[in-house]
Amino acid sequence: MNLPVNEGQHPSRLELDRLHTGELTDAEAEALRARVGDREQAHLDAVEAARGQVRPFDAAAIRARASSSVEAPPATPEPANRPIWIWVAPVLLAAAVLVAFLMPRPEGTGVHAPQDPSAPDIRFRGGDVQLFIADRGTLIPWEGEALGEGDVVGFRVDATDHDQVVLLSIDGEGHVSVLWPEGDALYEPLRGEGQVPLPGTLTLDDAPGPETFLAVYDTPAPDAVARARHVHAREGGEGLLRWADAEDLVDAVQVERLTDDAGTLDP
Amino acid sequence: MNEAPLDLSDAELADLYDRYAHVIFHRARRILRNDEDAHDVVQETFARVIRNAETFRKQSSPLTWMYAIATNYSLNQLRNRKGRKQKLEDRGQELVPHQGVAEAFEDHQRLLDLLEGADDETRACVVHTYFDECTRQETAELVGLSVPTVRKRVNTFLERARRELGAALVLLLALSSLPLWSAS
Repeated sequence: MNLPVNEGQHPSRLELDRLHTGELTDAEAEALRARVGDREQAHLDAVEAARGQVRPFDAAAIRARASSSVEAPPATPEPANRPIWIWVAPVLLAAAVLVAFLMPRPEGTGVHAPQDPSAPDIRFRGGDVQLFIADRGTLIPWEGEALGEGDVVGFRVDATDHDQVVLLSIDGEGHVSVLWPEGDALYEPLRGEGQVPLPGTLTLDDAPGPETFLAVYDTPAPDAVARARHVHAREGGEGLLRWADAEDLVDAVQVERLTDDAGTLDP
Repeated sequence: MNEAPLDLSDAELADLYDRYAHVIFHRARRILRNDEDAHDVVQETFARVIRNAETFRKQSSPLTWMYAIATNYSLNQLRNRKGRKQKLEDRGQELVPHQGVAEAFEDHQRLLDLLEGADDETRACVVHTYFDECTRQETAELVGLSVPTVRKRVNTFLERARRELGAALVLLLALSSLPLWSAS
C-alpha cells in the first residue's frame, strides 16, 4: 500500500509559503504561480487569512522570552567500553570517551542537528551510520575528513524498529571485518529508539581506503558478511553505498583513508 | 565593508514578524490544532531568531530556517502534552478497520499520537512529508539528512503505523493531500 508522497507533482506548502512571503526570485515565483491551482490557492488564502489572527507584535515580550528560554539538551544514550578487532585505545582515552558520551551535549552538536539549522551540515553517504572521532578525549562528529591509522572512532546506528545490528568494515580491497558483534555472536543487540551508540570505540588500522562501514540490521553476521563481500566484488565501494540506499536494512558511511604517500602526485 | 550588527533591532524584528509570523502561526495550528499552542510556537520561533541572529542573517531562506525551528518546537509541545501515551493506548483499542473518511480525518490526533513515539528526526521527516507535503529533497534539506535516510525514516514510521493502527492511519495520512487538511 503506497501513501501519497509529493514527488514534485505539485508545489509543497513550503514552496507556497515562500511564494507568499516573497522569498522567491521573480522567475521562481512566476514558475510557481503557473502551478497554482484551486488547492494551492486555498492554502495561500488560508495563510493570508491567518495574518489577522496572529497576535500583535510585542518586541519586549519576544526579547524577554529570548533571554529567558533555556532548552534542554538532547538525550544521549550511554555506551559501555569493550575491546574488539584491533582495540588498542588506551583505557584512559576510552574512559574519557565514555564520559564524553554520557555528558549532555548542547543542542546542535549532534551529527544530525534537526533542532538547530545553524549546526554544521554534515552528510553521511548512504544512510544512517553516524561516525564520531576521538579528539583530545572527546568523541566529536566526524566531518568527512580522511582518517588514518591510530584514529579512534565510535559509531551510532539506527535502533528504530531494529533489534540487532552487525557493523562491518569493508576496506578498499574488499576485506570484510566484523566490528560488532564481538566473537562468534550473530548480532549486536540494540536497545532504545533513534540513533544509539555502539559500545566502545575502535582504533583504525592501516587498511586501504576508501573504507566503508556498514550497519546491517536484523541479519546474522555470516549472512551480512557474505552479502557485503558479494556486493563489493561486483560493484566496489560505491556499490556498497548503493546497496545501503536501496535496502532498508542496510546503512553505510564511507571514509577516505590517509596513507603514507597521501598528498603525492601521480607522475 | 559594513557588517550587519549581530543583534536584530526592533524595527527589523517587526518587519520579520509582519512577514512571517502569520505563516508560522497557520502552520503550527495545522499541526497542533490549538490556537494557544500555535501562538506559543510563533513566540518561541521569534525568540530563537533573536538568540540566533547571527546565524539567522546568513539564511538564504529565513522561512525554511523558521520551519525547522517551529517543527521541532511544535513536536516538543506535543510530547509535553499530558496523558498522551495513555490516550493512544485507549484509542488503539477503539480502532476499527475501514472506518469512514470523516471519522478518520477528524481523528487527526491519532497521527500526532503516533508521532510522539518516534524519534525527533523521524517525527520531523513525517511532518515535512505529510503535513507540509514537501518532496523528499526538501525534507532532507529541512531536517539535515540524506534523501535515502528520509525515505527510510518515513517508511519505518509507516510500517509502525500500519502495525499499530492499521488501515485507519493509512487512510488518515492519505487524506493529508486533500484541501480539507489545510483548512483551519
